[in-house]
Amino acid sequence: MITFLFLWLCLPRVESLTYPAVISPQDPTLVIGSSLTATCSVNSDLHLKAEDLYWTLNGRRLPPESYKVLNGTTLSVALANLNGSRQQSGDNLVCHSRDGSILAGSCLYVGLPPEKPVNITCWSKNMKDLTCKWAPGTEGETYLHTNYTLKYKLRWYGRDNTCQEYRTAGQYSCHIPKDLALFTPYEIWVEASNRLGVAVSEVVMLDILDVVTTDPPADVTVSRVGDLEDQLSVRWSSPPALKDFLFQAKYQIQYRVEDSAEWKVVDDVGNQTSCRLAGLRPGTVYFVQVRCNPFGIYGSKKAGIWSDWSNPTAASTPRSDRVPGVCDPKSGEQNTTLRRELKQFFGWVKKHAYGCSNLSIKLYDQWRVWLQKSHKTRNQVLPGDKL
Amino acid sequence: SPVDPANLLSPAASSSSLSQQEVATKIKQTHSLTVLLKHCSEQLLAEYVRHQGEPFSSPDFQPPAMAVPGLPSPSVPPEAWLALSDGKRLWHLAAAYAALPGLLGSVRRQQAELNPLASELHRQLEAAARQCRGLAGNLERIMGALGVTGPPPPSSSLGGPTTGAFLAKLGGYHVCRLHRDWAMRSHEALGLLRTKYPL
Repeated sequence: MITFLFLWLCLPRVESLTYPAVISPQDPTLVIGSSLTATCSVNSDLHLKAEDLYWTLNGRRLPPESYKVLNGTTLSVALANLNGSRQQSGDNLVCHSRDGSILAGSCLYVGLPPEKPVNITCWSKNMKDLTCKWAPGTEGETYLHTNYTLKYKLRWYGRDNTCQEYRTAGQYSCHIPKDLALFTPYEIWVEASNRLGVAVSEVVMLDILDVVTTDPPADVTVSRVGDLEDQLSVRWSSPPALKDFLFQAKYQIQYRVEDSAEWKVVDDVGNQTSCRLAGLRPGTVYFVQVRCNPFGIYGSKKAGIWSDWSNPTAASTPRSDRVPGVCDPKSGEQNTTLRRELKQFFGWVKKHAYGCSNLSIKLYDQWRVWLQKSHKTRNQVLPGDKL
Repeated sequence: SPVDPANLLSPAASSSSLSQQEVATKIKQTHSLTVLLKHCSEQLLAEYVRHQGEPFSSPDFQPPAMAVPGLPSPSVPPEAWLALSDGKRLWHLAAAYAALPGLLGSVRRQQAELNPLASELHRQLEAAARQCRGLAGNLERIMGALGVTGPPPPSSSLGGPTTGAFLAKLGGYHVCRLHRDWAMRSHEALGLLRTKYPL
């Protein structure tokens, strides 16, 4: 390395450059499977003969049978049935002198033209913006870097706009942050381009108001219903962002037991901000999530797009059995003597013992949940345990 | 400290207001920066060749011994380098680090076209340019404190005709190699300076 640096350092500064050799064509773009004949012409000052040259492609020497001496200083090579480029920066086709030193190079770009992007889906968060995602047309590789551009225009105004913020929701996505009109349709499409060509997707037409989604409901709390062993009460607040708009929200609840992957969905929750889950297993920890659909925006009868689920909230039911039901708003409460007395005690503490103001019956309930969980883990056999 | 007549450093002609303590601290800090540069420049070269394909990424890659347009060549061979005075060494380093940020920037722009998805490479090229600018600033301070005159600013960097992709890959390789070699040289030089100006 040191000697090389030395050699390199001692070269005089050259203003107009004479390269040792030149390869033609320079940086061609080709379709997979095509053929190419390239030539290497050495500078006559170098006193190198065409017979003394050889070719490599991505470091691998090409067979001499594919070479042809065109004249004293020019050697050609014939490449057939080219494979897709090994790296996006291009395959390196290099012309060497007999001692192995590199005389010249050219980068080959071999691939396929892009296919029409498909499955364009869009959504607007609180009518403020628009995010779209799509899928590339090709299942496999094109071998060439493909650039995607999302374009949109108002249906009846003619001017094309280009989306600028890419990859906000995955690799094939774009975000339009502002200046979107409501009550008027947009045309949206995606152009895919690479060195071999362009492909344009089908045009999708939509009105922002038809693809509105919002934030998940806030402040989701799940609590026991007194001592009822098969019920849990879920409460939440509507997403604040849409409170300025005339809309009706629909909600959906999903819940599952702690050690199951199967969610149960409660669909007909309507416009309320609370719901009681019934028919649950006693003494079990449940995870609950709520999501919101802003439908009826500005009087439209169409549903919007469901928000993400809220972060899971956990709670547990007390012990014993009951008859199943769904979202039953009417049900009596049964307090045990102990719990009733504790509740009274905490009320008194709150009033009379300053500094203990965060003691409440809720804390007692949380302790019961924790007790149940730790009781469970204590009885589990852990992988490291010796049997 | 011994007075070297060939030395361009002349405390009497010192124009900066840094105390001996401050100079020594600055030198130590700059030496640490060269340690970072040594490490990062090795990583950058490895990351760079990885994205250009063979033969660049092969361990026995022999780049052609040809000058690449626009790349200035440092003119001091390694053996003579160590025999230079501190001031002269600093002068050469300052000249190199004045030119390197622009060159690394050009490489980053070329790689944005050649390897658009190589975000780690782009990040490292930007970081390298930033580190070189930092080192250039530090060197300027040290030279000011020691009364060493700096080199003239570099002539406008690469703006020449657009090169082909292969030459762009080769040019970028040389810049990354140079960057690493200069990092090694600056580390050496600052180490020598540290012994002469201990804290």
